[in-house]
Amino acid sequence: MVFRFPVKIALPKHAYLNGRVIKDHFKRTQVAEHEVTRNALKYIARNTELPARARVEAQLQLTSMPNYTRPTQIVDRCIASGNARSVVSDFKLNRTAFRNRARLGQIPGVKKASW
Amino acid sequence: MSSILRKLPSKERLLQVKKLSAEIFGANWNPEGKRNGSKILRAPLKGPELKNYYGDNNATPTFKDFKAWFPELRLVDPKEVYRLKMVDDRKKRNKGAPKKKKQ
Repeated sequence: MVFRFPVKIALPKHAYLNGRVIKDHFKRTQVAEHEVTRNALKYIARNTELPARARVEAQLQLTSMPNYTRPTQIVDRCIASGNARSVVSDFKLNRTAFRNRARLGQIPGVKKASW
Repeated sequence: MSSILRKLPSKERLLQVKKLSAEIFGANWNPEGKRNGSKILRAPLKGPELKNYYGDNNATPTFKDFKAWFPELRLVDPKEVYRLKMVDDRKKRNKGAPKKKKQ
């Protein structure tokens, strides 16, 4: 079978897996890999003390990089259900996954409020 | 009569002190507030944290790993058995995955 993404990556073992989670994981690995390059280009593009030509060139190179190297493409997904909506970022869990676990007492220090 | 308070140092002198302090503590010296992009280089890298969002694969072995390491034990994952049983049941009711298209 052909690997779906342009770069071969190791799939996460300890999280719920579906196509969207794998896609997001792929983007995360690529963003991590290209972060230094992007930062360097961004530095050149944003530095007003450098010649305008160099700055424009750096900006063009930045825009010509693939979308999956951009950190804004990353979405936090639930590690238990793969859902991207209403993810409690402190626990990396969707609201339902979080609620079920909290009710069963599986999340240390979390309990239902009552007063 | 002169005051006991000494006069404040001049503006240039204060700037010199600030510059020296920036050099000593490795801070960025940019009194005119020019946009030189140094904040991009100064920020810590986010990559490693982003990459490990779905967990570190080497943190703990999984059931599959144990199965591969000790084939003589013939370990059976009850969750996987249940899943395969459900797939089989669905197939019996003609609710399985569609067949692959033939080229």
